[in-house]
Amino acid sequence: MNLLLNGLLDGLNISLVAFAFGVVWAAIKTVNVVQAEVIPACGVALWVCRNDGMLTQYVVAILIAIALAVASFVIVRLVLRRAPDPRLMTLIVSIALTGMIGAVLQVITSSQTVSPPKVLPAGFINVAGVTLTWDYITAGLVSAGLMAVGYVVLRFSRAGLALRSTAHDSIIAAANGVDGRRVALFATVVGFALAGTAGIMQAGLTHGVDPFSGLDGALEGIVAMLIGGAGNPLGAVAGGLAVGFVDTAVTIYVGGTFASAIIFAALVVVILIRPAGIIGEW
Amino acid sequence: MSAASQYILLLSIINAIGAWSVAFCIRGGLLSASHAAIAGAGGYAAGWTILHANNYFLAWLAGIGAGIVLALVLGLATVRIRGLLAAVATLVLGEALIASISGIQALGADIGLTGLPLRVGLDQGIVALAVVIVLGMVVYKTRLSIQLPLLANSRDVLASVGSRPTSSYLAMMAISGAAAGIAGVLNAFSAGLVQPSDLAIDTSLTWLIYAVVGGAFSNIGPIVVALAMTEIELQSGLGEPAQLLINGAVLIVVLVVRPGGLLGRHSTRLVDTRRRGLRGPPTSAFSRARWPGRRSRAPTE
Repeated sequence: MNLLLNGLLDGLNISLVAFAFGVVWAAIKTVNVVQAEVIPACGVALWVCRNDGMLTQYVVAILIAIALAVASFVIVRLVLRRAPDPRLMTLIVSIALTGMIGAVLQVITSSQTVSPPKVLPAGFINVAGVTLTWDYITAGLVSAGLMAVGYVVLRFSRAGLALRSTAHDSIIAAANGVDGRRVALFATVVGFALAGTAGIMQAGLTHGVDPFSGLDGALEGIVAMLIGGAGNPLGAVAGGLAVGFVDTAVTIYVGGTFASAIIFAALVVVILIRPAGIIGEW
Repeated sequence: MSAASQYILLLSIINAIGAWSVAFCIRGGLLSASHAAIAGAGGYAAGWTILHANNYFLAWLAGIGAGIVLALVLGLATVRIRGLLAAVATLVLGEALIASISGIQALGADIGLTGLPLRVGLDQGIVALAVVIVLGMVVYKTRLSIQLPLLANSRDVLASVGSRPTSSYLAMMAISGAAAGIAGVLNAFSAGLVQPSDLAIDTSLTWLIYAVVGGAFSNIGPIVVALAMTEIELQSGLGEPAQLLINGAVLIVVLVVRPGGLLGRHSTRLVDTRRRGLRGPPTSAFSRARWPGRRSRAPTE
């Protein structure tokens, strides 16, 4: 039961990150690694605004996430004007931008782990003999709620229809009047905002923001997205839960050191057997 | 030249060899983010060998061999996938290797292997760099240099001309892994230790940036850029944040202005299949010039 509940809560948090990456993947068929830096960036934003009200902290953090989204979108499009192979070029440029944003975060925090204000409720509850903390429960519920809202938007709204059609076949979608650039910008902003929210919750869960965490912290989300099915919200949930369960199980029974290795080995197996992921692409 | 300057130059040479190894993979269509891990594995193998066998030559062989083996493992894992999935797979494998090595007590766990003899100086670094450059020049004269762009662009075409894409891919990985292993051994014996942090993805991404800025399809482009940028950054005493900012800015500017790299071919194609010596498409088997005994005749009314 301990494994089940803790794995579920951990998995939901990872699912949100996977969902954020998946939304961007659906539009541009690649990973914008800058999303990985949004997670610690929002945590640092909370720390910078620690003397202001809670609402101000949240707003500033989300605005920073959106600003990073727009900036990375513009820079990537600038590079892609002359460069071929847009998917790999996007990855290369986003890697460079990730390093630059990480450098800025290191300067702001003087390369130290900072403690942002507590954004999640404290306390614990006993469920079926298992002690769960309210911060993990809250983070899990928020993640699930955001993903549910995101699924509804993607499924029933015009913007969601445009994104799904672009994900399925960008050429046919363009032929039917769907502006690919607007869809990509919309997906990038939404994906970054979701990653920013994940960053705010992670700051509350870890009680400290490491400016070096960027890509390392987001790798589980990327792996979960690829395992579940890139660009598919249900795939993100499935992949995130799978990664969460495996992570918790390995940590409990084997040791935390090998959790990453086993998760990554699972990714290689999935890629070799079923490259589209467990559920498949959207 | 002072000892500090010599050490900085040696670090530049290590980065240059690492960047060359990454560039070699890019030619074959693989964007690798785990070459620092391969180099680190080479360093660990060399360090373990020197500590237990006390044979310097054997340590070099072990280091290069470990680099080749790990690169082949990576190659086997990514041979069936391409593009972004392959890049992510390399990223993941690199992180998995770091996580695994950190848990192995025989390799020093988080501390790493220490007490290695300081056997590498600037002269050995220059020799190693020369070996890598010559290796690139030799490969350029072989069929592999033509197979690599086809490997990146169209494996079906490569197969249709009688080559085996898998063999070419694994050959590419082996050569690249050997170079990375050389870099790892140099690093281990110049610093006297090898740690899990030597396998960090940050180093791989820095090599990737040098490779792209220098020109992945150039033999010396990544080497020159890596030497120059490392020398400038270390001699000027810039901190890590400044180095990251400069590397990122230089990459973006180069990709906008000269996508093929500073010393690469000025081409907007990521994979350039043009090559010196080719005069154009092969003539058709039904061309008149190929039919024996026939002479070209003007059409009669």
